[in-house]
Amino acid sequence: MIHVESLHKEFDSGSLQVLNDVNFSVDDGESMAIIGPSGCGKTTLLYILAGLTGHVTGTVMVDGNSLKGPSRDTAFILQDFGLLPWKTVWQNVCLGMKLRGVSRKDQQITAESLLEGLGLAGHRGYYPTRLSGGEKQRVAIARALALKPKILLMDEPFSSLDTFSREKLQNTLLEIRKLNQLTMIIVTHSIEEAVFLGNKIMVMSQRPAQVKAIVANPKAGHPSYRSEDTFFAMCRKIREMMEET
Amino acid sequence: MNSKRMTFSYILSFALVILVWKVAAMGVSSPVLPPPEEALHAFVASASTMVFWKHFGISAYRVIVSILVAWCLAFPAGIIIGYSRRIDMVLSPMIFMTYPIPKVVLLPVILLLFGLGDFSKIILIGIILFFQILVATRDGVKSIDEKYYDSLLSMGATDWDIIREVVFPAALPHSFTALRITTGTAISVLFFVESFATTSGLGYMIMDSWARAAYTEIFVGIIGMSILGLALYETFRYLERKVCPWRANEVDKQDEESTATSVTHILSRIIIYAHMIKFSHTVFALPFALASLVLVWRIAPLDSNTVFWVIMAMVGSRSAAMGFNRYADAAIDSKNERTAVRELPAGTISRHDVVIFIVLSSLLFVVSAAMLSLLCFWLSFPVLFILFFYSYTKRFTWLSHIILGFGISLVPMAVWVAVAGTLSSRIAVLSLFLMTYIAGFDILYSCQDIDFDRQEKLYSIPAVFGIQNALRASTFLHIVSVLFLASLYWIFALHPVFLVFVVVIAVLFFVEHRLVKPNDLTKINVAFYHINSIISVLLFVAILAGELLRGVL
Ligand SMILES: Nc1ncnc2c1ncn2[C@@H]1O[C@H](COP(=O)(O)OP(=O)(O)O)[C@@H](O)[C@H]1O
Ligand SMILES: [Mg+2]
Repeated sequence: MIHVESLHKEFDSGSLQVLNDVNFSVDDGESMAIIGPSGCGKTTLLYILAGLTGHVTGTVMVDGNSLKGPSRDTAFILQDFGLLPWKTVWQNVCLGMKLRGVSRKDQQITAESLLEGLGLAGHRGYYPTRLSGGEKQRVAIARALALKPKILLMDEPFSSLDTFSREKLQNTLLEIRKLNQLTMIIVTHSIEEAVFLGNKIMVMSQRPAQVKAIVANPKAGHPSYRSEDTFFAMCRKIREMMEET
Repeated sequence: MNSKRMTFSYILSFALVILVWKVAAMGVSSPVLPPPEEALHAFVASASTMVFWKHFGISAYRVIVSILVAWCLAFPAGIIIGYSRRIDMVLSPMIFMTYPIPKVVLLPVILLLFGLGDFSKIILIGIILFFQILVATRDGVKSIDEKYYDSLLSMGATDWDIIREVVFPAALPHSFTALRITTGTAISVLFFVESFATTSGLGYMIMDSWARAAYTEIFVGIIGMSILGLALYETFRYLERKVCPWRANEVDKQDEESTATSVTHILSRIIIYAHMIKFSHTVFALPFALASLVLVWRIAPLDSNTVFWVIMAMVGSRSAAMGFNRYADAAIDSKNERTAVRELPAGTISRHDVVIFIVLSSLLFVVSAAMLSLLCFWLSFPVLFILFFYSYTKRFTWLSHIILGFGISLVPMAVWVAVAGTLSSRIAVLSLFLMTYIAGFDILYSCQDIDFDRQEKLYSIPAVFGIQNALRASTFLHIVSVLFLASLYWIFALHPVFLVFVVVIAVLFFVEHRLVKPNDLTKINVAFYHINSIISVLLFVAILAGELLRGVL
């Protein structure tokens, strides 16, 4: 479980305040969507949760321990995926395992089943420049899952995709989450995406970001939700909240 | 650039260099600047001696060892400086302060410290390359996107992991690019260090020839150095592709981008133009000129200059005519599916550029004609007029095919005038052959455009008289043309072998006409076009053989 309490973050030695008293917690197996205007500090928050950004005030606890750097249980998919252009799909997927000293044989078994499951088996020898946006995202997901994380952090994972591939990948993500019992935090600026993927939706204000509200969204988690009336009602509710000042 | 385009651009630039060289040599007209054919001849002669290869080998050894040593030191250093902020802060100011200082000035110091041998030479070249590679590598590391570091850090990577997985592969291509770009510098410095205190290497060869006033040999050395430079450049390019396969596309793109500011830009434009005017067609029209040269040889002596300027005039006039044709027909071409992909309607080149191209080509033609004789100079203007005029004939007469044939049939007569100074009814027969031959084919080709021509109210024999009649007209013209061709045997009293070739050509004509049916024009394609090229080459071979064997057997 992730627990964040009175988190503050400033850049440029205090002159740029980004996060202002952020509080929330996410239970194991839960998924939270973070939505807010661009530039408010969502990416910064994810970097903090991934242990990549320090010098914060406040508490960040993961599974009862305060966070001090990248954790083995957390996988982070950056915006634009962060795939290495000089590595093939296969090498990118194996990269994290290689860094953690997983044996070659185990790397192979894991990578093969992940690529198979994500429909990338035929692309293992490609370099990322040859992939479409959706394919790149799937490689990034495979690379994250290869580390068998408990927590998955994603920064605007589907914002660069067309509607069709976005919805397909959102469905894939639901399945993956269920299968691996992942705790997930997804940053997005799409209201529909937040409502579709988050059991909880955290709405943030303009910079310096404060939490405007955390809305429970218990019906999320099934592909058919997208066409239900409750889905649209929830979207409307979130939109109104975001427009409030 | 793909390899085919590259080869093409190499050939073109080679041709360009030779042309400029030739013109310059004629202009200077001094033994200091021998004409290219003489220098190339001397080079080939030299290249078959051990002495040359000894010099070449030593030069190659010096420059390659320098490059290897410089890279092995500069690349790791560049990585460390680029990656570590602290080291960068200390060392970079020093590097950047000394960067603009020409390292060549260190030469006396190096000579004093390390003596006059190869070691000093390698050190000097190496130092210069070292700094280039170092700076390029460091800048390459600095330009790495932070997200790659973040992505690895989130997986728990150490500094060493990051250097191995991110910094090294990201910086590698930068160091190769630096190597490629500094090849020119490396060779210059090589020449510099070899120009004194040594008795080996291409630089020595050049300086020694200079001292002996052996001007042609200077060029042997220069060509040798150019080859060494080119070979190194291409090797680095190749290595860059092999070692950094993910960059294969980028290297191409980069090439194309960097062309915007360099000579290769001009080259790539030339390729587009060459495409526009179907330069290859010019090459296939050349045999007509060469065949005419063979025939006129008998009555007037030939020298290499005449042959050269005849070819230049041929290239100039063909290019001007084709360029003008594309220009005049741009509006029509853009409406026709088959020709809409041509460079001007497709917008690959602008009208303005085409005009410049036509002017330059015409100029080449007129200048070449002037180099041949004053009469040729004056005649070049009406010839240009006829060539340009053809482009408009399609708009008012179905005789346009004949006009096209007439334009090309001027070649033999022009050659005759250029060399013999007069006209002759004998050579006119070759012209008649060409006229009927080309007109016949133009009719076949225009069968493909019959619908379009009718719709646009353009005149062509198929459009006016129908396909069936057009095919008959074409067959008739080709029968006549074979007769004209055969008659050359008696007119010029050629060797009987000539007739054998005539039979082969006649068979090829026959085959082509069998392939085309009124209801099936699909065979008028590339293969067809290739057969035509073969015919034009065969014509040349026929006349050459018929002339050379005359009196022998
Ligand atoms: N390393 C940094 N140094 C200084 N300013 C930063 C840094 N990272 C982010 N910022 C600033 O913090 C603000 C929030 O950024 P970010 O978290 O990326 O916003 P979001 O992801 O919500 O669009 C922006 O104004 C950005 O310029
Ligand atoms: Mg962001």
